[in-house]
Amino acid sequence: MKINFRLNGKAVSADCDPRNTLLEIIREDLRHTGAKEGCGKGECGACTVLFDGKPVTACIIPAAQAAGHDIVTIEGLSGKNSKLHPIQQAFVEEGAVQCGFCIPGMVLSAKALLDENPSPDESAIREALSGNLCRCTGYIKIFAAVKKAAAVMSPARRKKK
Amino acid sequence: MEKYLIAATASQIAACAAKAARSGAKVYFAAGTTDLYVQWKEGLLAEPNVFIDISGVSELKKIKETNASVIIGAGATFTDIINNTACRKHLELLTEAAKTVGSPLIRNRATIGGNIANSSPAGDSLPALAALDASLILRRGAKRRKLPLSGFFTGPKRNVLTTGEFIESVSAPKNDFNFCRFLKLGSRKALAISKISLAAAMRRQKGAITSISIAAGAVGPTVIRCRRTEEILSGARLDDAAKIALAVKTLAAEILPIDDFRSTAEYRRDAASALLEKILADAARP
Repeated sequence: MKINFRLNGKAVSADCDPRNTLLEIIREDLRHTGAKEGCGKGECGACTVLFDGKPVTACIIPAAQAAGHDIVTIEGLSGKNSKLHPIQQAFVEEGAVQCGFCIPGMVLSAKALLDENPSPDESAIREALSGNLCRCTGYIKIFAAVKKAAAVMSPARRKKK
Repeated sequence: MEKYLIAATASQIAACAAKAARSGAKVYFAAGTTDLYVQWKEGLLAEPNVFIDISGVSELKKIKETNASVIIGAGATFTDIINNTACRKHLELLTEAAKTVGSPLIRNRATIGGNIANSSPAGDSLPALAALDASLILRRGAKRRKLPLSGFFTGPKRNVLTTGEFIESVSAPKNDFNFCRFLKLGSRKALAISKISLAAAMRRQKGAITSISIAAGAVGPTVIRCRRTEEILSGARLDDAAKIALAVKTLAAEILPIDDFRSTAEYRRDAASALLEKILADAARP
């Protein structure tokens, strides 16, 4: 079957078997390999994408369900000339990245959090990222990076108003 | 290639499901797919089968408030339930349970209908729904039947749904509980399946329990409503140490835990007692 949806703001279409997962289509057909397969069961968050703005685990979503919806992957976050999104910049500055495997998922979960709650406290950050596992860092610098991103992004948002 | 049908309305679900059932195929409903696709990838689904995608059926996602109850469409996700004003106000125990399901990523997809239909003994919404005296509307074709949740489960992963029948909605009556707790023990704070869960809702007035509802999960083949424990606590004062000790002992005896790869019966009995003690201690504070 053919499915049409928006990927990082652009209209795309893909041929899929009805039971291909969204992660397979994004990685194999659409060659956006930022989302990773960590567990294949929705338990690690390495495959996190934003589905109509909400973070979800693409590895257990039927590709067919993406039809007509907005999907954002980590590739959709950086700006022109690969300028890093403030969240990505904060992750770099805070030393939050080790092997990098969990990071696309962490960044997208953080983006979804900050879109809804521009000034989260630590417990809100921990809760929002609780579906994203990291084997390397022990999480502390990841949470610090989200806090820093929130601080950097908030005044910018207030300026827009 | 097995079939994958997409429904746009509840009537289409009913028609597709009834037709598929007549053909002898096992019907699976694809909503949030957080259990279904895991099971499919593990080779656990029956064959031949038909998947009916119900994720786009907006009428199944609605949450309605009536004078007497809150009615939640089977397609509502746990995130929907957590954020819903009627659920927070009238079914607080359920929203507390919803917050413990999986992770935010899972809750954005997983539906209450799926949690019920999956019928895991450890399903997190189930003790809360049982304590809230929830009922289900089941639909097959054009026919609907209403069933109390207590009549739905027949064993681990087993329920009374007939082929082609699906859960349309779950409802619970508005109540006058003013204190509730949902406690869950698992290997992690998130992404954990319950080793034991305890749902309690009570009305406390002037230091006494005027009514109480308790249900336990992951300690029996299905969710257990702990009526003997409720009887002891109903009318009891929260500072009545003897009554509380008796209630805690009764709970441990009332549940039916087993040893499994997640935990042991002995741990579960001890933990059930400890969880109830904690809930009652919290309730005793002003």
